[in-house]
Amino acid sequence: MNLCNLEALVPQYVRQFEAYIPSPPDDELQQMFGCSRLVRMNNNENPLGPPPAAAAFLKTFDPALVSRYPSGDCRPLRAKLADYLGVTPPQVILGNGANEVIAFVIKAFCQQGDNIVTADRTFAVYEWIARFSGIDARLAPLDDFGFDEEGLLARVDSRTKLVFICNPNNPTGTWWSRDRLIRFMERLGPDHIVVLDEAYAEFMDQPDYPDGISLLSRFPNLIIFRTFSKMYALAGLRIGYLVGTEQVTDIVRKTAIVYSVNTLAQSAALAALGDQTFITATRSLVQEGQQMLAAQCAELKLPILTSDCNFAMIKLPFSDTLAYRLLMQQGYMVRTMTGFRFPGWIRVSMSNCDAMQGFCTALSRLVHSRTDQSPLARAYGVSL
Amino acid sequence: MKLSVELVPERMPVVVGFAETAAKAAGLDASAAAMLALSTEELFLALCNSIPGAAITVRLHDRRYAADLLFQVPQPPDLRIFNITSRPDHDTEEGLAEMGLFLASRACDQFSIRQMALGGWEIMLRKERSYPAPVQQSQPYLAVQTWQLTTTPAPDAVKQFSTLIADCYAACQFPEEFTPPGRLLDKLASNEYGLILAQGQQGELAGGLIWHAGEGRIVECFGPYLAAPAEPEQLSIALCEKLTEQFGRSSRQGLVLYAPQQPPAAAGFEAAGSLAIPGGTIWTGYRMLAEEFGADAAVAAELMPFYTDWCSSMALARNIRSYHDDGETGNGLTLFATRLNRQIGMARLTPLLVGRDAEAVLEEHLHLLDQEQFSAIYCTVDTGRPFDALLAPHLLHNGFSPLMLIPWGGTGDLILLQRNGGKR
Repeated sequence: MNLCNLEALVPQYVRQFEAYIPSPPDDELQQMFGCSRLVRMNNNENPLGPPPAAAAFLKTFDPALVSRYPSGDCRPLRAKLADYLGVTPPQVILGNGANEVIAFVIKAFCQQGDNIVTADRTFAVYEWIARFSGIDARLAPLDDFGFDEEGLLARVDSRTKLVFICNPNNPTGTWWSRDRLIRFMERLGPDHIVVLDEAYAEFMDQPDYPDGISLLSRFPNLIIFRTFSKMYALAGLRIGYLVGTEQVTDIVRKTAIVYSVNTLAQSAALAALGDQTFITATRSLVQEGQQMLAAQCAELKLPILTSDCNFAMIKLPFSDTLAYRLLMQQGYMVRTMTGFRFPGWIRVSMSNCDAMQGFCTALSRLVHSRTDQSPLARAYGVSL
Repeated sequence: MKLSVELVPERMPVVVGFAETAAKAAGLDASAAAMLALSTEELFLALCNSIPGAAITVRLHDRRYAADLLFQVPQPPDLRIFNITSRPDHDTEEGLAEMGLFLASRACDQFSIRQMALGGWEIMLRKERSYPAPVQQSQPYLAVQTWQLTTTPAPDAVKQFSTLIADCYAACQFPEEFTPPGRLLDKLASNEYGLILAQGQQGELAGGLIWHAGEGRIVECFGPYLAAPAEPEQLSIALCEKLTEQFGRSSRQGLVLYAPQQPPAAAGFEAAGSLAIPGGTIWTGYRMLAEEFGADAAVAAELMPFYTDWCSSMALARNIRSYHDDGETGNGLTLFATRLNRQIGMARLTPLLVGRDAEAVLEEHLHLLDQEQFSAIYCTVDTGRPFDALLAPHLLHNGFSPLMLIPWGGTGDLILLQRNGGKR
């Protein structure tokens, strides 16, 4: 067999990058960790499932349709989204999940030598896509768990093409108000694109929370990301979108992959969009979950960061990755925050009442089992 | 610096000349460069016998604190010649060449061979630089009430820190050395090592933690070394958290801590065992960085109680298979990579291949290390490499006992065994 010379073929920035390994299926995890059921509270999914209209569509979907290509540019859905959001259809570009639209934007604007600027403790995919595309990712530390305007501006230079702001921020749930966002845009000026990731916008119920799309006319260098994965519970179908000015989306469209959003996803999103009853029910579920978790953490004396989002961060007095393994043994899967550069924290997705109660019990059991011993015994697994 | 050459004896002077010149250019003194040249000569001859005519490349990797001579060969040579105990067969020419290689490996500080991910094999000879003895300047170290952490300390601060280690922790450096100051500065300059330093407002030294990110999925960490160990808790936690944060979003699976004193529980490290070293006890801790999904593990019956206990206490999800010797050939032969620290009499054996000759090859190694008065001898067994399990009974029979578990330290988990004395 002739071995190709991979050493010479693979760019250095790809060679250095380590592939992300997604979690195995539930049955494999249950077998490995010895738990009879597994409640995933790690991906900020909506436990209610899709809105009724989307669920009904999925149940009655005609399998014969899968032999045909989907709408290559999601035309019917773009039309409905444009109408719903108050923009024109060309201002909307859909992708196979918001991750894909992140890649569209980076490919459209960045070349070797350019950089992107974002926070050090935020959604990792901006940084990852930039790095494995050979683009420098400059990271500004968070200030009091929130995006820091000064830190971001200090890292911007003439080769900065994109500034990514996650609003509200995943995983801290902090957010910039409309005034703060406007102030930042004015200080930054028009020479850089600002990507406002509003993946959790539909959860926000705060008067000051800005609708980025409403600022497009004032700041044409804005791009807004949204997704159907979180509030609309279509994560398994992979569909997200961006909105910008037509001048900007005309550019991004050049690097957008057509036909990448499948028929099921487009039609389910079309059915789901704008179901206010469903949004209200989800917000209510999230609020109850946040309250339950906050009460449990207060009892356990654990610091917690709550917000309107469907997740919360909890600080543990021991390793988060150890907590993950011990909670897995009890059937609860959380997200460790070491990978988000928050060692010792876990992020927990809000779920239905049963799951939240079960998780609170598991958390309580875990914390007591790790803190009832003396610190030395705990650290070294010995009895004193 | 790189040289491409065919494996024919006539090319030997060119290769040896290259090795010596490159070693000197990398900062080795004349004596060390000559030792590396001697090793090169013997290795080259052995390779000429093993895979005559093959095209190879030789290059020098300047690590600042050491020079690595790397031989890349396209196909596996006869691997038996690489064991440091490989004994000469005086009746044949090949045997004499092996004797040379035996000497060559002993002239180096580290000798290893590995199969490269993208094809071919790489043989490494490492010679470490020597450094002048530190100037004795013991000074009182005081507690610093408020400190700041830096990951880019000034050279003077690094020297001060190395002196602190020499003054307060000299005997507890394991398995790396960070004294004298020149060695620590060179290690940091190599980019394989890093230092998180805590300093007071006037720049006074409070403490620090060193890391080493070599190949593999684990980062080794050393410390915290503190100016005032009586009040370590908050500072230790801050140093450990900074380190974890630094590697949190990396491809590394975990951190292994070698600590001169017990780190506080809130620093996030789990107990991984303790090690008796010539200078005292080293506490070890483990901090997994990633969410793990479990793994298969092949473990010898003799090590099963140790392994299952540790898996249970560290909450590791493992599908454990007891590996029995059913008479299989294994890898065919046994090969160890060796790492020697002659100054403190420490040797680490890493099995690269395990075959049916495991017992004999292990005993030869131990005999040689005993002869050379190595008092601290360690060996690792990898649960991700089933044939390693064949080695376990021979290790236990020769006085080794398992002390430490490093999850994901190798292909799978790494069990570190230490030799306590003679045969059991």
